[in-house]
Amino acid sequence: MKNERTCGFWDATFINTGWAIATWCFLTGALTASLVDFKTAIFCTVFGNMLGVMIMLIAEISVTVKYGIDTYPAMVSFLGRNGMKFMLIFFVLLNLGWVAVLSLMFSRAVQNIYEAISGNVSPPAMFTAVAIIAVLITWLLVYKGVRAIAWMNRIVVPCLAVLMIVMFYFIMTGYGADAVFSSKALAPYDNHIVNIILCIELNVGAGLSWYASLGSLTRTTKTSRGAMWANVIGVNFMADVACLLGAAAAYVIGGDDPTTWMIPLGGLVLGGLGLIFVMIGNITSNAIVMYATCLGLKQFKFFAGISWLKTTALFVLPVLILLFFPDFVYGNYQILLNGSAAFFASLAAVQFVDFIMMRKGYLDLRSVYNNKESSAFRYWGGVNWGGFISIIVGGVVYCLLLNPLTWEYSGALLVFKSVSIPAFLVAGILYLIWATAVMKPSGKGSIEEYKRYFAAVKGNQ
Amino acid sequence: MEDRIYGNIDNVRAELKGNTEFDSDIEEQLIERIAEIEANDGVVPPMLKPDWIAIIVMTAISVIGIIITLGLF
Repeated sequence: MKNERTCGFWDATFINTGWAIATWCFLTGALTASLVDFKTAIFCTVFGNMLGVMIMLIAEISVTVKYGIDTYPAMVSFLGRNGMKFMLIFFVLLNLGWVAVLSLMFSRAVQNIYEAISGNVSPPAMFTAVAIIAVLITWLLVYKGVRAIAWMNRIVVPCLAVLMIVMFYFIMTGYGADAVFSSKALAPYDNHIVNIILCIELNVGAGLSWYASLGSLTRTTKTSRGAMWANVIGVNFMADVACLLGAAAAYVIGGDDPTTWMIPLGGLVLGGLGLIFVMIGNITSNAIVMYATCLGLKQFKFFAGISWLKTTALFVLPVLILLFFPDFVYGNYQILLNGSAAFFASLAAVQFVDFIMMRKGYLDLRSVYNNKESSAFRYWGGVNWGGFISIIVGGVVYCLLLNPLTWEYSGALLVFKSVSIPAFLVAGILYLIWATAVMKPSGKGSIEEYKRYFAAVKGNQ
Repeated sequence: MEDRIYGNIDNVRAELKGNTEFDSDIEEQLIERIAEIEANDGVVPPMLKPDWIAIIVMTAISVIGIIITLGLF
C-alpha cells in the first residue's frame, strides 16, 4: 500500500542499477565482442537492450506498480492460478542457477585477488567455500528485506559507477581508443548479418531477463513514474555501460570473465578495488533475485504459512548444493542466459494483450487471490490453457529460429532478422485470438469486467 | 460478478473469506487492502501520458536503431 512504499526515485534507481551491474553484464559484453566489432557492439547493445527493456516495461510495470503486487500474482489473470505456479517453478529453477553463478563469480574474484597478492594458486576447496559465504551474506541481506538492499545499493552503486568510468579510462589510455574502436569480432559466425542479429538478440534477451524480478521492486516504489525511470536508468542505460565495458575489455585484454582482467588492467590496488566492488555488485544483484523469488514462493500455500526466514532458507539450500558442482554451474551459465530469453518475449506479449488490450488496465484482484471455483481466473483446472500454450508456442518459435542452448540457427533467421519479435508476435496474436474467440464468449476470465468496474468507479466520483 | 460493490469491504469479504490460501489474519489484511485499492483504482496513480509517450518513443527508437544497425553494418 502507499504507506508501505519505501523507495523513492533515487533508491529505486540505485536498486535497479545495483541489480543490473554484476558480472552478468560483463559476460554479456564479452559475448557481444565475440560476435561483432566494437562500433557494431555499441549499436546492438544500446538498441537491443532498449527494446527488451521497453517490451518488459510496457507489459509488466503498469500492473505491478498500480496494484502493488509482484510479478507472479500479475500472471494469474492470463495463466490461471495453477498456470502461474508452473511458470513460477520455472523461474525458481532459473534463479537458483543465477544465484549460484553469481556466487561462484564472487568466489572467482576472491581467488584472483588472493593469487595476485600471494603469488600462489588458491586451494580448490576455496572456490566453493567462498561461494558459500557469498550466498550466506546474500541471505542475510534478503532476510533483512528491501530497506537493507536499498541501503547497500546507496553505497555500492556510486562506487560501481566510478569504477566503470575508471576502467574505461584505463582501457582508453592503456590500450588506446583506436585499439578499441578498430577491434574486430573475436569468434564470429561466417555470416556477418547473422552475427549482428545474434548480437541484437543477446541484448534484447538481456533486457527482457529482468522480467521475473521486476515486479518485486516496482511494487515498493512510491510513484509509477519513479518506478519506470529508475528501471530505464538502471537496467537499460547503466547496464549498457557495463556491457560495453565488458566488450571493450574482451577485445583488448581478452577473456569474458571480469575477474581475470580487472587486475591486469588496473593494477593490484585499483584492479583489486574494482573487483571488490564487482563482488559486492554480485551480492546486491543476488539479493534482489533471491528476494523476488522468495516473495514469489509465497504464492504456494506451504510457503505462505511459514516465516520469511524459513522461506529464504529453503531457497538457499539447493543453491548451496549447486555450489559443490562449480564446473557444471559455471560452464552452463549461457543456458540460463539464453534459455530464459526464449520465453520472456512471449510471456510479455501475452501479458500485454491481456492487461492492456483486453482488460484496459484493470486487474480483478479478488479473482487473483480467490482460490475456489467462484474465481474468474479459475479457468480450466486452475490453468488458462490458451495463455499457457500461447507462451509455449512463442517460445517454440524462438527455439526453432535459434537454439538458445547451442546457438545453432535456422535459415529463417535471415528472413525474419529477429528471434524475439516473431516469438512476441506469435504469442500475442495467438492469445488475442484465444481471448476473443474462447474467453469472451465463455465468460472465462471475465474479460469485460473492466466495464463494470470503471463504470462503478466513475459513478463514485 | 454482478453482485459486486467495488470498494466495499464487506462485499470483498463476502467473496473472499475462506477462499484464499492464507491464514485468517493475513486474509483479512488482504481483504482490507483489496477494498481500498478498488475504491482508489490502484495504490498509486498510473504513469502519466508523457511517461507513456517516452516509452513509445524509446521503443520506436530501438526498433529504428535495430533496422539501421542491420542495414548499416
